[in-house]
Amino acid sequence: MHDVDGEKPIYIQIADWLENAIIDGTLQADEKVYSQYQLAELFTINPATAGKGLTILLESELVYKKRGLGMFVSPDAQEKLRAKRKERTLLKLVQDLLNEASLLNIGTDELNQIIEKERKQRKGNQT
Amino acid sequence: MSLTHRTMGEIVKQQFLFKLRSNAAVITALFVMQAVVWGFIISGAPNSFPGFSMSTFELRWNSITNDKVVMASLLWALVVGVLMTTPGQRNASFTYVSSPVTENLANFCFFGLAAIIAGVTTVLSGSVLKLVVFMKDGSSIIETGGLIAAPLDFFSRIVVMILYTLLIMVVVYTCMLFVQMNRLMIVPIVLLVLLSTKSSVFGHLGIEGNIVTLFDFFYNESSFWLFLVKTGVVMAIVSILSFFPSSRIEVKQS
Amino acid sequence: MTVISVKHVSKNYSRIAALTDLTFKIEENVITGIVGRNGAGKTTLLKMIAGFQKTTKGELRVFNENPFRSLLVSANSIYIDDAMSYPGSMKLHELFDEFNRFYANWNEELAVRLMEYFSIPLNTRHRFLSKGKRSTFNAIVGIAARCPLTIFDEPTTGMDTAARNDFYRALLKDYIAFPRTILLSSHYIDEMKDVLENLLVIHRKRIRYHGSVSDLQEAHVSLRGSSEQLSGATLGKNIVSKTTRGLQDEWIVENDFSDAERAELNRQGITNTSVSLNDAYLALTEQLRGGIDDVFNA
Repeated sequence: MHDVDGEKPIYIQIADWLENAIIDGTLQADEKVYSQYQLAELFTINPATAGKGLTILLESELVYKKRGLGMFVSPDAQEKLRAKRKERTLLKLVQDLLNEASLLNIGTDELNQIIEKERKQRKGNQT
Repeated sequence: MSLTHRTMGEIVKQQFLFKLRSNAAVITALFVMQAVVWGFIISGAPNSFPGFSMSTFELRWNSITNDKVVMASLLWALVVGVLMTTPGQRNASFTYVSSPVTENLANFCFFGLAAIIAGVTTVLSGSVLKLVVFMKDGSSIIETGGLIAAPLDFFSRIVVMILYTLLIMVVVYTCMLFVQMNRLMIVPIVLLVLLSTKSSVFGHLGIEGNIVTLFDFFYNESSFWLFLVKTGVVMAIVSILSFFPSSRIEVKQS
Repeated sequence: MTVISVKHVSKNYSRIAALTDLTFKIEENVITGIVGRNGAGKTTLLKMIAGFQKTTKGELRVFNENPFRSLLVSANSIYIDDAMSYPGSMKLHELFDEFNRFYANWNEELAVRLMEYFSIPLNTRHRFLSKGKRSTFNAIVGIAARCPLTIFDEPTTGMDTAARNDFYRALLKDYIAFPRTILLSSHYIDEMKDVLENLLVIHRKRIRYHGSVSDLQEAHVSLRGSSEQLSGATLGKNIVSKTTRGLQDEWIVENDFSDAERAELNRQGITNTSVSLNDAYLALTEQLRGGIDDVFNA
């Protein structure tokens, strides 16, 4: 049995791994990114696959190329990624929530009440 | 990665040396075989050497003949011819760098050297045999065709022995290749063998006529030079023929 | 540069077809996995490329030459399988000496170091090794020969898991240092998928897929839900396989869903996930249709 997310293609896994490294600060702004060959060695994967992973980051302008020197983290990469993650993760959670709600016949009002109740509880815990 | 270009000559030489190294046991087997036959001859198994004795005087004549060593060497040549066509041999060559042409040429080089070794040792063994028996029995010896008595004859016997050995190897090798190419080739080959050895078979069938058997063609040739030409021509033809099956047989067919 | 070019190639063994009408090209320095079920024709194809066997029909070119009878192809390629022929009289280090003489790029030092790593003594004979060690030795030969065209036909047969992983890692590392064209065949796509760039799937004696590993994976999607839900959602789609997983059905479908269609799937509560490469391959080669169940349901 495979997990719910299925098995992502390796080049996407590589891109995700690099994005995580940028988000958590392992790779700082303007720092050199691993080359496709370093990535290939690191993960025992084909260099072409590693290159494809890097291309995703290049296309979304999370990294930039310096001729003959390799790729470097864009100054605003961390910012961009945070925004992207927020949007993507949150959207997914909301979708799941709505699916589950419709299964359980929970209306919008009831859903809002649950959210509001949970929020209050957390506030109470924090103070 | 740039391509390597190797010449045919280089690979033939390498394959020949490879075959020598990997088949050293084949040459050793020849020596062992000769030694075993020697053992039989020198120990003088009574049956094999007819003597003549009466109560009053004894005439013992030992016919020391090298024939058995010759036969052993020719038998060995036959085995070598078969051995070099086995799939194992060819597959091993193609584990390294090889083509059907280089494989064939390297095999011929191997046969050449093997035949020279067999020819020289077989003829020499005849002379040494006589010496050994002389020393053992102390009887006088009438040497015929030894190195000292008749050097030319001695060398021509070596050449003849080499040619016989080589001929057997090449013919057997080529026949085996044809059979490997197509199993049905066994029929004409068997017919040919029958034709060359047993003309009487055909005699019984009433088709004797003017068939000069292949065997007689070589064996009864009294002129050394004519023998040389005959074997040379036959070997050349057979060798050229061998390229036909060898370039059609597939490697690692399993 | 194209290293292998295959045009309408067929191969028969005494009239029985082993491969039918193959056409594809393999470019220089690409690692391609050759996969297919038993008897699909993988070995036949590889032996033709290595120049051991001839084509029955069509045009096959390796380094721009017909490989059968070609000295150029032989000098620049090596074929490794589990039935390697070595002279029984030679010890392993003597076999290495011969490789050194025949192959221009042979790296003796690497070969010896790998032998040490895998604890295979150099002064023994090939036939005295265990099955796994024999395969490992062959694999070492294939890596150390550094041939521009390196062919491995099921190289990991008999190796344990650790040795398999080590082999693929060693191969990849040496490939990064000395890029070359590599063909790798295996029944098990999972063990080698990471090192592959391309995949050539042979099915029923024909090419079923040739392209990048990720493209094959992304060309399919797995949907899970009840069979009624799934049949409604996949109208007009090409269904590759249907399997029952517990109470749910899992259908692998060709992935040409638009964003709107995807949203609709989500709304209906149908789980849609990417498929593993292995599942995509199994689906492609009809190994996921639950065929074995049909035998018992008859």
